[in-house]
Amino acid sequence: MKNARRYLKFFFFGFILAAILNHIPSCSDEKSPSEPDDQDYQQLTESIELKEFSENLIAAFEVENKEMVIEFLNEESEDIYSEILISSTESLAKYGEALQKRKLIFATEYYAEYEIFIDEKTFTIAYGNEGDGTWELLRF
Amino acid sequence: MRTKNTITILLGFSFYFLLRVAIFPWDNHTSHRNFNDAILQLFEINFESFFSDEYSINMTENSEKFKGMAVTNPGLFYYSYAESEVEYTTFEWIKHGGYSADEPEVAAAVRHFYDPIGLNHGKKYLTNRGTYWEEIYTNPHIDAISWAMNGSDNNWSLSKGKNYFRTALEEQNETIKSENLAKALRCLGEVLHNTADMGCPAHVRNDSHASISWHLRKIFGSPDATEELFTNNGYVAKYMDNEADEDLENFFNNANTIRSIHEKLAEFTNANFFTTQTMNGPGINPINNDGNYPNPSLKELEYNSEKSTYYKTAANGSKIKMAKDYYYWVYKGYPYIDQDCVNSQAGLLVPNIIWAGINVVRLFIPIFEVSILSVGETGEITGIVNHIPTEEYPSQIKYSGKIKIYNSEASEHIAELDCNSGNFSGNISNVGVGKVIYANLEIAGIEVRSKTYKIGDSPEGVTIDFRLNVNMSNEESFSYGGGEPWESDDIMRDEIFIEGSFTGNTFSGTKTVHNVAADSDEKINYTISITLNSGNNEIIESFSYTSHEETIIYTGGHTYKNTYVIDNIIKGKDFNGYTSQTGILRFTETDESAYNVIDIASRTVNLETIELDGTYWHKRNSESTDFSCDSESYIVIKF
Repeated sequence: MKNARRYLKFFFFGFILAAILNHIPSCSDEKSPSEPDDQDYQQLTESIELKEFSENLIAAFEVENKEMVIEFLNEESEDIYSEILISSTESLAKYGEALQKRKLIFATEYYAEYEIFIDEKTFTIAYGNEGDGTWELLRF
Repeated sequence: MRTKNTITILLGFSFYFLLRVAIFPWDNHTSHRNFNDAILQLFEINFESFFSDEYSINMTENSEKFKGMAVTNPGLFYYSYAESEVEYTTFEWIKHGGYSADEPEVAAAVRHFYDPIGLNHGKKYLTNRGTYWEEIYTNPHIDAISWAMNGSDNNWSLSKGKNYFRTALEEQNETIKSENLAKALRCLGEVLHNTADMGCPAHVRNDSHASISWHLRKIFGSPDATEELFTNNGYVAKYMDNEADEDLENFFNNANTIRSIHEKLAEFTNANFFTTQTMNGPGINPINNDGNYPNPSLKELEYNSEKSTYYKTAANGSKIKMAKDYYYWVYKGYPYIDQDCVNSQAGLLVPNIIWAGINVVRLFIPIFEVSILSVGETGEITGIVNHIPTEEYPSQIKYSGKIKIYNSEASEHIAELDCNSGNFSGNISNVGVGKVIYANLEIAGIEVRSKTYKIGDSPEGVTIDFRLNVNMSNEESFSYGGGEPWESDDIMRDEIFIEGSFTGNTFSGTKTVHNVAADSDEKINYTISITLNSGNNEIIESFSYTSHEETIIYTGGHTYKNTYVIDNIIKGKDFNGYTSQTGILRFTETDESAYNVIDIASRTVNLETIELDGTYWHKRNSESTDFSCDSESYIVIKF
């Protein structure tokens, strides 16, 4: 019982210490969370989640399975792009191959846009994330 | 034992951060602070076009700090975000407002939409995907402009901001003054956040979009490409010096209310830009299935088939990429907006927002005139700070606080006086006869200086010119023929005569209307304002009165009499010792189409016993169907 009270005291001390240490930088002008970095920024790092999503998508294109590709579509754009895909006679594998060499041109937490190159033509493809952390195909 | 203690401390330490992450998610990046930054900087470059020479504005460099509450822990809900007391400069508070307006994020996300068209049964607030998110979060049923201007639950609205600014200006206590300034400046920053939103297509086309990292739910739909790409690509800095739409800029520069600026910008953005989900044209229906906005339409845009791009020509001749339909899969697919399009559109959206914001700041700043009235032989100085009413600040602000006196030649600070309810006095006995001085009101980087005053040139006993501005305006709406619609072959001819006189603080007027149409109704509002100026344009006294709305039923010709009570009239006022002046009586009438200034007469009057007799004559003839009227008016006032 005595030990439990002592550990509780140390635990509480650690908690308070963390709170104090956290509070000090949060109130400085330079690091305040109320003042995010002034600089405009463009995040051009492909996150692990984005990369994984691309790899799964590429796999669907490579096996030339239109239904599988449609599964990756965002609900709001599914009608439009499933129709486009189904009516097209272009090679899915070729698109998948180009997607492997994709160039990320823009990415935020919710949106990513890539350029892909097929037969010396440049196309763009966009992914979206509705805030639940799951990437979906918005346009391709 | 020591190891166990250390581990326990570390456990407690870690637990804090685990708890903090669970309660306070960390993600909120927008370009709003950058917009506020750019707006302030460009406002300072351009303020001389809007303010008199006596104004000097340097809010970005002002180093004085004001203590107040700022968002220090962002979060999704009111219970999961936190504010702490901080000290920021003017510039920092305004930038902070651009950021804090989005906190807490869920509450902000559903209150930052304004549809000027009201496409969904006239509703201007967010209704897109309502069946999804309204099951999870209550729809507040308030649009962005109402929220930003005077939302009752919005602690940082425009109306609250102006009240804080007024309190800061009228309060003598420096601590209270500082606290209210912090609040006022944060409010201005939050209002500017809404200005930027009104220039963002998704926010004015009822297009909800993912903007919140809510890891359990997806409720607001897919992200809006324009907003995402617009936000994080440095477009504010890139395009802040571009030309805004000329008509829009002219409107902003002449606007009298902050609300009208927001409404106009929203209308423009709505009518000229798409979002990915709200496009329409031949064979193209909006993805969100919420109906077609009347403008823009793909069919009215220029299409370049080689580039698979829709273009719109802006008023300045530049071609804006509105959308593309270039696909690997088909020749022409569903149009979309990509980074290239957003880059092109930002070239017009950014300067439009900046110019709207510049004028929001302009109207947020009250207008004052500072005057030194006298400097006695032993250095006793008196002066006044006079507030000029505007539509944003219609009632008098009686400044209390410091007034600094400077030696004009060396710009040397020589005294600091207390001003109380618009009057300041003190002693500058260390300054000799012949020196030229001026008084300066300084607050939050805004300075208003008086005209220079040469010590020894006392105006006492000297007759100076003054002008009495009598400003009468009315707003009228007519319906003729017992409420029947106006018909093109009807001819509206009416003559309105208003005769009356000022006696003491009362204007008694008789209004007579003769018109050829029978059974007409009229609603009328009068605003009468009177300003007494000294000869060098310094305002000595100013007051105004707005009548209640009257509804008058006429049958052919009719005479109606009303009495207008003017508060705060000149009679009995102490005009700082002046008892007899020569002045020019000036009448100004303002309405939307005309601004007339007529100098009537030059008179010598006794200000202690002034009684004015005035006759106002107004004649209007109209033979048009659109209610535009040719009018002429003048006033004769006799002392």
